[in-house]
Amino acid sequence: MMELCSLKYDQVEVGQEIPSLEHVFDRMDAIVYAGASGDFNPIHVNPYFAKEVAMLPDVIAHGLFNMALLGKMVMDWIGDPGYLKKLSCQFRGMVIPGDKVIFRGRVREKLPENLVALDVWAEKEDGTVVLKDGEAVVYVPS
Amino acid sequence: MIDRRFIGKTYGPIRYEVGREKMKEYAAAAKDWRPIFHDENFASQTKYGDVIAMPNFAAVYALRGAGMMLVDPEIKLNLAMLVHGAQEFEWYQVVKPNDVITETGKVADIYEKGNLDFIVYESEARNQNGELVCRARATFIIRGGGGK
Repeated sequence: MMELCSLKYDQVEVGQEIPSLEHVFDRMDAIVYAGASGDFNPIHVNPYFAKEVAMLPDVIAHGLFNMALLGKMVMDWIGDPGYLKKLSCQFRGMVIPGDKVIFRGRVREKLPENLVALDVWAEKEDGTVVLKDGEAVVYVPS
Repeated sequence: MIDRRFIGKTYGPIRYEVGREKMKEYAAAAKDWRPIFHDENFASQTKYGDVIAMPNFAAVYALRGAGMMLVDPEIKLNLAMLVHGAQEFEWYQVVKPNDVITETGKVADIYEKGNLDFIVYESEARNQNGELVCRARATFIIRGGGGK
């Protein structure tokens, strides 16, 4: 049996930062995500609607797309997607095409039964918050 | 203010049959190309035996009732002013191709803060064996007052 997780619970330290993930949002990302998720809200895919009707600077990324990248960052760290037990966040800053978003996480607490809680969030290069007060809970084997 | 009498209103059960290619399409859209999501040969050598869905795929199978709530003609939310404010997922089982997921959801809360109205949707998704797969909680914000 191939193991997907090479991390061990003993190696996890409170306060440690996990590897961050960067993504430059492209308008195609929202079109592809709309198709995959079924969320065709025009503020994500139609620049005319976004600007002229919704009064936004341009189309904006789906919140759940940003949250999926947040999940990817955590899964890149734990290796086994089945060990992701919980993920939550608030959707704050808008992301428009060309914006670089940096996804970050830090171990907050080691819980009983091999669970680990992390603070997770996302921000732009200028510090604008995109995903706020996120939490991830993962299982890490002994 | 959105009428609080809608707290407790239920949606579903909503049936969702998980397609192999749809799972992969979601993971690809989220830029996640790890083999356990895409490669059956790889997956057959793991404890899962087959590809699994990206956990965030719950956005597809566990939030369909939220979509129903948002366009519910009784509640009459002002969609032009609506934003997705927060999201929480808790997972209990992995999802594999051909799983049949049943979502049941409800309006969990309605409240206001300043001139923002909040409506919260909560759902539970179970698979064909009755096992709990995911709990989801979505908070939507209506700027400038929700009820028309």
